Amino acid sequence: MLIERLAQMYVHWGNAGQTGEPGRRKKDQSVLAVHQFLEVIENTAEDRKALFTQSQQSRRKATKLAYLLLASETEPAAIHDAFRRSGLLSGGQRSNKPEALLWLAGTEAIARGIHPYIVFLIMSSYFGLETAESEFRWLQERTKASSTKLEEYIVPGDLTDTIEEALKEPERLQRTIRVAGMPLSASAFAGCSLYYIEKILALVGPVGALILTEMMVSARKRLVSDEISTAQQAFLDLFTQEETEPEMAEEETGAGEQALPNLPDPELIQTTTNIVMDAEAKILKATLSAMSDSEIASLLRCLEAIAHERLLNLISPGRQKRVLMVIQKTENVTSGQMLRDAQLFAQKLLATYAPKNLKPGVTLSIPEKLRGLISYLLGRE
Amino acid sequence: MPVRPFSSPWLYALYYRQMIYWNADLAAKIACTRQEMETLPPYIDHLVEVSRTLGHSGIQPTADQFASEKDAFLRYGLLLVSEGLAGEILEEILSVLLYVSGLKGIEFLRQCVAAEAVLSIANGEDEDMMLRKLLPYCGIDKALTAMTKRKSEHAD
Repeated sequence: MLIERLAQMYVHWGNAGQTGEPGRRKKDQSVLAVHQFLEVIENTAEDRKALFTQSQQSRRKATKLAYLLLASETEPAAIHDAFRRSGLLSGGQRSNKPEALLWLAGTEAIARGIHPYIVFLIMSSYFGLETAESEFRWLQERTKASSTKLEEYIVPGDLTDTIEEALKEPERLQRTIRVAGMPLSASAFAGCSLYYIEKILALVGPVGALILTEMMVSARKRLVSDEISTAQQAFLDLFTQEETEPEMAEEETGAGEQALPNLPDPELIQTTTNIVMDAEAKILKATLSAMSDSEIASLLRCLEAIAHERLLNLISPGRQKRVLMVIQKTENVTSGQMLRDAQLFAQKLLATYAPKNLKPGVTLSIPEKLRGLISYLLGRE
Repeated sequence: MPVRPFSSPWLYALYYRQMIYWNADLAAKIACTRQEMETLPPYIDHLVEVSRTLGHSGIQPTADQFASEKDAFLRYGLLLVSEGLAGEILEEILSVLLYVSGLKGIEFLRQCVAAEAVLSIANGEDEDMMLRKLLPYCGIDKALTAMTKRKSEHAD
């Protein structure tokens, strides 16, 4: 999830704003270095010697390291370590941190085999929204100069037979391209006739169209006909799924709600019980004091007996009676409601763990096992 | 009066599972007043409307399709969607943009909501799913009320 990713960035890298905005001139130089990186990767990606030369010629430490790591064909996972060990991401080098992160992201993405244009978009996002959009426009203009051309090459397969029908639903086809991802989409389209490829490419913008075209050229070189047919089948499966999935989900939900309205989810009960048993008594007590009687009653429905005992021991006898009265008056609830009740409790527990005044850079000190359980519970749908 | 991190129910909902990775810098950046929070539901309505329109007319990858969109973050996100980029890539780009964003408070929160909406549009999610992701940004109470209201309307 996006916000989770953002929170993790803050935890790992701290506040990007702390480092101060680079001056206009410095920013322009950095943007130029990214342009050059795109150029070099496009022209010398397979040429390790040329990448070594680039590394030697680079003045900036982060750029030098990026080229060096790519020249030595470093694994994506090791690139992160290399940047960390280089000191570029450490406290002493904080003024260069956004730039170091930019080069780390770019190098990792290239090593992961992501298309250079997409890598460029990722890297330019580190300059902020305004620059990212102007760089995107620059990239769109740049695609016009591309000379990549496809030749007629048809691989008989499921998609080749049905593409004309599929093109009658452009929105669904666009969505399938995004869901399948460009590598799979390009492998599937690689076997279609030029007539249809042109129509497909018109469904995406110029940058996307060029990426797909280059990937199709590459797929035709790398893949045999059978593999292209398999990609076609996989793409078509996704395309079909795009149509049936929402309907099926609706049917399943409807049927589930009607047939099994009150069936408790054993996994939910187990997880919530473990959270109650693992949380510190002091924290749990504070959490319960912030909950209403009916909220505690709802929580009890999501727990095994052993956790009932622990929980009830943490509230006063008078409150125990009130909670039990609420339970007696309450009708049966659905499993969906039980999940929401358990999640509400988990959110309140987290809030109790949070100190009143969080200092910058501080993360919640929750035991690892408990963190995992809460994360799992809150992530459930 | 600014809402302190964790002092308000809307934060509980906003940080469902991601809350456990909570960081004080991010909390400070996202904090805003209750009055400011009132502007979020109409903005979510706008995002849902954009999604609905794109759902009907499709995304035309032309240069000026989103030119009328004044919200720069949303406009850029939609431009990336129109290029056919996968949700995973979009998430990477949008999270970096949020990370380096110089905005604070409600303006930053709006960017977060816009980013979620862009991802939802890219992944072809229906209106209900989109709202389930966006409404918690308004606070758990408002989100639950809105979802219950929608559910009863659908049942009718």
